[in-house]
Amino acid sequence: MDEPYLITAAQNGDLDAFNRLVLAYQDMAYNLAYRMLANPDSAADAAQTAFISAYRALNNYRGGSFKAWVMRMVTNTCYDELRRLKRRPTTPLEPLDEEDGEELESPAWMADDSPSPEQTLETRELDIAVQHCLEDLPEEFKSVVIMVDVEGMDYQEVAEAIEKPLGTVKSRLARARLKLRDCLQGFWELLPVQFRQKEEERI
Amino acid sequence: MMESLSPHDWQLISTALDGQLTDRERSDLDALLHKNPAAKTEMDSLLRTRAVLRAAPRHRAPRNFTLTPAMVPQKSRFSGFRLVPALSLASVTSFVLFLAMLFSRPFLLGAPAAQAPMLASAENASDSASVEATAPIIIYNAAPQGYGVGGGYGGGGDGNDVAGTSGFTIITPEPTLPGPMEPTPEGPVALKSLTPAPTEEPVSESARGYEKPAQSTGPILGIRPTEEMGIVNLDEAMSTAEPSAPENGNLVSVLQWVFAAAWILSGVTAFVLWRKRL
Repeated sequence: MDEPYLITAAQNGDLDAFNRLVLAYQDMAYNLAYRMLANPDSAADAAQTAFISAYRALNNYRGGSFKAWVMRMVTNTCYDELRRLKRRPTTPLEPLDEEDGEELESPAWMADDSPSPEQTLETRELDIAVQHCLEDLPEEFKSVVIMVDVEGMDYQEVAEAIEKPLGTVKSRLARARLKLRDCLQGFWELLPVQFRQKEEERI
Repeated sequence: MMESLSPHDWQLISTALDGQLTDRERSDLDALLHKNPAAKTEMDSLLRTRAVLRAAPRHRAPRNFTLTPAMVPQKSRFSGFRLVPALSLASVTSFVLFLAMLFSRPFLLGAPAAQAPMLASAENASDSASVEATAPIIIYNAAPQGYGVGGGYGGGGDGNDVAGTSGFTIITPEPTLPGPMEPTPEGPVALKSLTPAPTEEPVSESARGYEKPAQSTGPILGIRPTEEMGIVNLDEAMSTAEPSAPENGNLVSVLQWVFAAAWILSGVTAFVLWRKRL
C-alpha cells in the first residue's frame, strides 16, 4: 500500500483512496474504541464517526504518522462518547436466559465460540479482566496504555496521537501499568496458565 | 519495596520494558538497580502486566467502515481556504480606506469652499453696511404693486427680481455710483425713480403703451442692472450656494459605507473559511 499516494489522492477528493486507508486501519481503530468504551456497538459507532471526521479533516493532515493521526481521531471520538455517557448514563438491555427466562448478567451470547471451549473461556476471562481494569483507569492513562500495550504503537506515535510530549507519554504509561498491575492481581487465578505460573513464582 | 520507588523510578522501569530509554535514563536505571535490587522484581511484575495486556484478544471490526458518497459531502477541488489570504488583504485594505474616508471627511467635503458664497454674501452685506450710512437699503417684500407710471413694475431694472413671488430683494447701492448714479442735488436718481409719488388711480398697462417688460436689458429710468447695483437676492444666494457640497457629502458617506461593508464581509468570510479549512 502506497500510503502517501493514497493520502494525497484522498486529500484531492478520491474517496476510494481514502477507503483503502480505512481498510488498513479499521481493525486497530475498532479495537482501540472497544477497549476505550467497553461496548461493541459504541465502539463501532465511534470508529465510523472517527473515519468520517478524518475524511472531513484530511486537509489538516500535515504529514507524520498517518496511523497516529487516525488513532487521534478515534481517541477524541471515544473521549466525546465517554463524556456523553457520563452526562446521560444508559443501562444496556441484557439478553434473557433461554432456560429460566432470567436476564443474563454478562453478554456471554456475544462471545466468539469458534475456538475450543477451554480456549474461549480463557480468552474471555482474560478479555474481561483486562477490560475491567482498563475501565478503572483515567481516560488519559487508558488511551496511552491501550495504544502502547494493546495496539503496539511506539512512543512517538502515541505522542503524536495524544498531542503531548514524549515525557508525558512515558509518565502516563508507567502510572497506567502500575495501576493495571495492582488491578490484575485480583484476576490472576482467572488468567491463562502461563500468566498464573509467572505470578505464582513471583509470590 | 514499592514505597521505596519514586514515580521517576517507575517511569524508568516502564520505559526500559519498551527499550525507549535515553542514554542518561539508562545510566539512571543502572544506578537504581544497583542501589535497590528490589527494583528488578518490580520490573518483572510490570513486564508480566504488559504481557497480559498484549495477550488480550484483539477485536476485529465487525464490519467495514468504508465511506460512501452519501456519508460525506463530495470534496470540491476548489478550496475556499486558498482565498483566505486575498480576503484578509481585502479586509485590511477596506478597513484602511474606511478610516481614511472617516478622518478625511472634512477635507473631502471642502467646508471652506462650500461656505465661500455665504461668506461672500456676508462680505457684501458688510460692505453694504458700510454704506448704509450714506445710502439706504431698499427692501421689497414680494412683488410691489406699482401705481402710476413711475411705480409700474417698480424697480424695473430686472422685472424678474422684483416680480418674485416670495422672499425679499435687497437693493444695496454701491458705495460709488458711477455715471448716471451720480448724486444730484435733488437726491439719487435711483431713489427718485424708485420711490415715485403714487397717483390717485392705477394706470392701466395699455395706457402705458406696453404690455409687460418681460426682460430688461438696460437701465430703465437710469437704474442700472441689479448686478451692477450690488443687489443680492437672498433666495438665489441660498439656492446657488455651492450645491455640490451636499452631493460630495453624500458621495463620501456612500463610500464610507461601501468600505465598511467590504471590510466586514471580507473579514467575516476569511475567518469562516479559515475556521472551516475549506
